[in-house]
Parts: sequence; C-alpha cells; structure tokens
Amino acid sequence: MITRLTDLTLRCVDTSAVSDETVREFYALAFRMGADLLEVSPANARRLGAQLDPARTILYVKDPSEVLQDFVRYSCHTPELLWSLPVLREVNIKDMRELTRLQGYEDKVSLRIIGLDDLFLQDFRRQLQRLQQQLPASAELCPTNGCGCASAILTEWLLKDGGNGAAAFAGAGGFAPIEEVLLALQLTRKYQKRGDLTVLPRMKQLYEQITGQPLSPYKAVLGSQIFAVKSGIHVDGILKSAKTYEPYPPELVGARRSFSIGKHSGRAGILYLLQQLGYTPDPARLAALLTRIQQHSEQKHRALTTEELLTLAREVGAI
Amino acid sequence: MIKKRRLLLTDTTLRDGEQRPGTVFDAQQKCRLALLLDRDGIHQIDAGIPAIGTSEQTVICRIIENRVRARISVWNRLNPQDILASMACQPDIIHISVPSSYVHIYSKLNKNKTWLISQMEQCVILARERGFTVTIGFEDASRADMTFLIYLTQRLKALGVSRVQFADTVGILTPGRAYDCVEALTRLGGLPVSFHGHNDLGFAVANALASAAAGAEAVEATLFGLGERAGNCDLAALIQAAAPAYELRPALRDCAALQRHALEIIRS
Repeated sequence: MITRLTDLTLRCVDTSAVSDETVREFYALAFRMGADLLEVSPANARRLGAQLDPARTILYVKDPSEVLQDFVRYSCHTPELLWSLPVLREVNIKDMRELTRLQGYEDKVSLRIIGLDDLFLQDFRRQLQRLQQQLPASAELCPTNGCGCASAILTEWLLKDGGNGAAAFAGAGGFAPIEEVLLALQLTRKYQKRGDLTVLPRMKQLYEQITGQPLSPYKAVLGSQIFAVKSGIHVDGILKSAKTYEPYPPELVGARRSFSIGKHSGRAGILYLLQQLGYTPDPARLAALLTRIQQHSEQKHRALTTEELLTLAREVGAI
Repeated sequence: MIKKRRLLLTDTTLRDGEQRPGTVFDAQQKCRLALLLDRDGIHQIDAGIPAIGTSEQTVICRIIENRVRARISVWNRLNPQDILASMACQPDIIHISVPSSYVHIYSKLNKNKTWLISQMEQCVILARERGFTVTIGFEDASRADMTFLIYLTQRLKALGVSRVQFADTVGILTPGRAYDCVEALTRLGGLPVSFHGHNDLGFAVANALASAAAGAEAVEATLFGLGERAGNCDLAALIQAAAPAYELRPALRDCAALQRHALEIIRS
C-alpha cells in the first residue's frame, strides 16, 4: 500500500507567464489526479493565495529567508538552517554505492532520496530491497530521469511493500513523470482507482501554458496522438476488439481514439472509415483504392486527409 | 577492467517505426536509413513487410543488396502467402509474428490455440525447408499465458527456429514483470530471446534494460522512438542508458551523429 505520493511540479516550474487562476487550477487538479501532497516554491505558494492548503503542501526553500509559516513540512538541501521546523532532508545519491552516506544521518525519518538514475543496470530488485532495509517507512524516493527510467524506478518502489515517492507532471525538473506512475499503478492493480486521471488533458493544457512549451504529441500517457491508429492490421484488430492493440481505454486518461489513413491501411480500416463518413463502398474497388492510398501516402510522406481519401475513392470508383 | 556483455540491437524503424500516424518513408529514405544504421554497426534491421506489395519488396531487395554487415529481417503475418513473398526477397532472417495472447488468438484472429500451433508450424517449416533462418515474434506476449509461450518455444526449438521475441505489444509491462517473463522464457524455453517494447507507460527503456538483465540476447528499438501510440523504445535513449553496462553497436560516441544524419534523411 502506498503511503504518500508527492507532486513536485509547482516546486520546479516558473509560473510568471500565467495568471494566478491558472496556477490555482493546476494545483487543485494535481490533487484530483492522485497526488497526496504538493510541493511548491515560495513564489508559487504566494500565488495560490487562499486556495493553498498548508496541511497538504510542502514548501521548498533554499534558505531561511524564504520560509512562510504554517506548512505541514518544508524541504531543503540544508535542513540545519531550518532547525526549528519540520524539514524533509534531500539527499542526492547517484549510485547505490553512495548508500553508505545515509549512515551519517541520525534522523532518517524525514529523508528524501534523489537520484538513482541507473538502477536498472544493476540487480534492481536487490538494490530496492537494500534501500528499503536501510530506510524507515516514512522516507521518500525521488528518482531522477537521466536514463529515462525514473517513472519505472518509482513504480517498482511503490509496487513493493509500500513506500513514499515524489514525482512531477510530465517529468518537470528532471523528476519522474507522475502521470506515468499513477497510470502504471492503476493498471497494475487492476484499475484500483487512486485518483481521477481524466483530468490529465486539462492539466496538460495548463502545464503547456505555464511552461510555454508544447509537449510531444507522442508523450506517454499525455500525447495528443497516442490513440491515433494508422496501421491496417491494428485498425482491423481494434475494430474487432479495442483491447487488442490498446493498453488501456483512452477514456481512462480523458482521451479519445482516432483512425488515420496511410500506407499501412487495410481493407477493414478503409471500409470502416468510409462507412463512418456515410458512404457504402463498392467492395470490388477496395483493392484498387488501397493501391492508390499507398502511392499517394508515399508521395506525400504522410497520412491522408479525409478529403484526399474521398477524392481517391471517387477516382477509383469505390464510392 | 571487467569485459562488458554484448547486447545485440535490432532496429525496427523501417517497419514498426513507420506505423506512427503521419510517418511514411519513401524508398530512398528507407535505403539511406538502413545504410546509416548498418554503417554504425547495428546488428539487425527489420526492413519491412514484403506482403504489402511489390513496391515494398523492391525496397527490401535494395536494402539487402546494399547491406554491409547488418542482418536484414522481414516481418510476416502467420500465413504462407506472406512467407512466400518474403522468400522472394532473399532476406537473412524471416521473422514471423505469432499472436500469442488469448485476446489476439480468440478475438482478433477468431481462432484457437490448436489452429495457431498448426499454422505456426506450417509457416516455420515452409521457410526452414528453403534454408532460411527463422525467428518468431510472440505478439502481445505481455498479456499471454507464460506456460503457453514456453510450450510454443520448445516446439519452435525442435523446428530449428533461431530466436523468439517477447513483444510487449501494448506497452503495459513494468520492469519487474519484464524481467520475470524474459527470465522464464529464456530458462525454460531453450531458445535465445529478444525483447520488443512499447512506451505507453514511459517504461520502454527500463523494460529493455530489465529484459537484458534477465538474459535477453537482443532488444529492439527505433530511431527517435518512432512507432504507434507513444512509440517504441528509443534507440539513442537505450544506448545512452545501457552503455555503462553493455557493449553496444551503434556505440554511444556515434549516437549524436547517427541521430543528426537520420533526421536529415527523414526531413529530406
């Protein structure tokens, strides 16, 4: 059972380009998504105003001058500077050999371990077990994403006998993408709900406004194109049973499926698309239409638009 | 210094990578990408699907003609017509995809396990009798019954198949599960195993590394992680993550140039 998952997004991102309302909406949706705690920078804490819930928010400070009162906890690389406050001590561990450093900390109750990028190059189960043995249950793992494995590391950590973790939306700040962790947990635990992942498309919009950078259309879980299907054999499979080529229903993450027409499109897919457009295609002309689609797609180096499909279908007499 | 273990890399940009909506390579691009990967030492190139038609076959034949060192494989559905189209291209490897989960066998194919085994053996024998090296890809293996996969692998070994591929077709594996599956298939199936992963949960690189740790001989990837949905395992990201522990071709030092040249070809 997971004790706690902390979202670090509003600790990492500069929100100066957007309105307070945007920051507040993102903050509220992060809880709905499934985060137990949110960690924020002092600048973002001030922007949240009355909406800020100090009981569920950690304040990330670099020095004592940034401290604001009444937060449930504070996080800091040098907690000695905040001696009178409940502080989460951050310890960077690049390599499992550095675990011996933890012996130097008398108070391990409030540790956050950051790093461990290359855990999968080692016997990762043994290493996670070692980590678990050395740390109290209250400690938090926050893998960094240098090897592109942070969300997988955190998921493995949370899937064992419980534990706490920290991650950030879309991997902000080089941390584990929290949406990947939440979805993996939900799928692995047979759809046992932790939060509402249908808020992800809206969170993505807000995140893109905040950072000014669009996410890749193919970003895992969040991409706008991850449920677009082009391949013929796969369209056929999905039409027979959506489960065939989809890892989870698009609706689970607030998305929708779409089909595109291209070089790999097959008879079943073309037939389906034309029928969806209100036509009754001539089955005898489908082979000719497929050949023209292949040629056209190769010439254009892309998928075909609906208008192009209809033009080709008329040219070969399929509709 | 400890000698690193060699991990074989297969690039499937030209086949599975091209499944990404909006991505279409012409003949020249395919040949140039294959040559680029070949020169950088990739072990195997999944060049395409001969059953698509004559234009695809022509490209595959050109890739085979121009090949320097890489092994060229072609992808086939589980039917003899596909195998015949592939044999005409004279590839190094005939790779046959075998739908292996119950949702694929019963819902997609509308068949049963008896039919699947019979069809699989028919296709393998057809290619093996003509002297081709055959590998089998267990499609949707991550949702299949492991006992069934091990049983199929043992039968395939008796038929002279060289390697089986464990495909996480819908990208739902966690690294722990990937490790367990690949380890069991390698140990109990008796054939070398390769791993083919998708990035739906963002775990493609981690799953490839976990599979390698479990004994996979080879892993598959695509340039820029191209592929359907959230894509396949990104070749450069995999090389970057795996390089400290494995001997790889392309090497880490060649990765930046490989990506730059590949991008030039794709945009040309």
